[in-house]
Amino acid sequence: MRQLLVNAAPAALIAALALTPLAADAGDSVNILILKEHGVGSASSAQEYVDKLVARVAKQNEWPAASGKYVTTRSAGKTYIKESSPHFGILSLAAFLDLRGANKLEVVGSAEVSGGGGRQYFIVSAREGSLAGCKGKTLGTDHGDDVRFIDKVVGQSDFSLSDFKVEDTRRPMATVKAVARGEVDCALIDDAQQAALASSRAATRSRRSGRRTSCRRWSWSRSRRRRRPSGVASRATSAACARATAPRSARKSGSRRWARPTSRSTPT
Amino acid sequence: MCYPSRVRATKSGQVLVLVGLAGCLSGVACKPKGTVDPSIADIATDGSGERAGAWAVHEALEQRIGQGVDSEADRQAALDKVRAAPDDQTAAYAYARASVAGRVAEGRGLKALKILEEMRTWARRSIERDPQFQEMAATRMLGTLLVLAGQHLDGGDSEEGLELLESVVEAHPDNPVNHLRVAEAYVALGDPEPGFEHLCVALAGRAQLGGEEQRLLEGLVAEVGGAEALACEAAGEGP
Repeated sequence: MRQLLVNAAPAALIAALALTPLAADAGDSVNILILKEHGVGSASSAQEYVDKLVARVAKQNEWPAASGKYVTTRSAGKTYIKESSPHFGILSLAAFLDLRGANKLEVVGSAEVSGGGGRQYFIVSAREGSLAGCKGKTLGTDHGDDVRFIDKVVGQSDFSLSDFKVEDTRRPMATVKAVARGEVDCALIDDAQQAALASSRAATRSRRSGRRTSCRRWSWSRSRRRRRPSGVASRATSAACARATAPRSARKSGSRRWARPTSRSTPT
Repeated sequence: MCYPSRVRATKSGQVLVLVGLAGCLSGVACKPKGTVDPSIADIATDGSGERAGAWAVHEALEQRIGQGVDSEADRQAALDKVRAAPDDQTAAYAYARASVAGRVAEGRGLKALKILEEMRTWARRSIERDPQFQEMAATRMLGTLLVLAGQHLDGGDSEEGLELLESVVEAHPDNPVNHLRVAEAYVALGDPEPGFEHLCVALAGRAQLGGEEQRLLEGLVAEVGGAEALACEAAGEGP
């Protein structure tokens, strides 16, 4: 898999907003919104942790009352803002940029999220050797729902989504698998997906290393038995081993360029 | 919006406190809260007595969780006990190990990655020993684990988890729990629409769900926009 472009967002999961004056001063409940887009996890499973967290924070800050709401979509976030006028929030960057004007959001801190994604974006391909090669071709992504964010913040002067035939791959690993299998020419993924891709490639390499070793042994004994010049047999077997260990997409196309870790990095 | 600097500083401090506390709330270093209930503490792990072994521990813990009276100490003690119980090479033993490890990990979040790996290992062993054990319960557990925590596991693959959950539904379509878990997976992966029909089936079979599962179902339905958004057919006409 070739990494064709790396663009870093100015910050990953950011924020902390001030939507209304601090109600705790007036004895009201302090509400906190947590809006995490494009992550793995449901509000149903996360809410219990948020409740515990907010209870501790309220105690620490001597707030008379507090409540937190975890949502995964911007529409749900907007509804909560409208209904509950939260005082603080932790938002994904794209959501923060979209909501900050209308709600006069003010950054007061940043949150570090392990494996949360949204910090860096990559265009990767198993077939194409450059970003230019991807343009006009299919681009799989599950980040295409906020075109403005991708064009202005991620793509900047390098690309916009209209440069590609965008295919909504819907889920994080579905995107990774689609590009690895060659179902799409290129893919736009974030750092969490890139880490998953690296992890799966490492696992694949680990599984295949045993096969490669036995392949070499077979070649050595075979060449000795037949008294061939070892170089001839080794070259033939090396090619067979390379085919066995290459990704399926590379094997189909006959390309072996996948192994070269060339990339163009364009930090913003 | 503009605030006096004093107010801004206060709020900034509060946010930092908010973020900092997350580590302790999910942290392995935090001592388990509460006391261990006798229903767990009294179970022998050496095979002696009426209630003994890993399966008995698993059942006792699930009962406490189902009643909503469990403590962190209960979960940790249960994990210690199933680890100490001898492996009788059954799928039940392996499933109990995986299940109790998962219950401990629930309360610890990302600080429990080693326990999540332990859970995956024992779920796989249970499947190896008997894939049909309790209507593929270990496959369902492994699928849910890979979907919800796959990104934090070595080589974890949420799509593989989804495929496992779909295979359980295909093999046992009459169990609403299976539909609930597939729906949960689709919602968690940010692709809720394919889960709608499964939520409808789970709603139709709500009476068969435990209390914890019913709460999950309610949360998922609310998350996708309520029952109206699902546009379920009349009860009994699900897929």
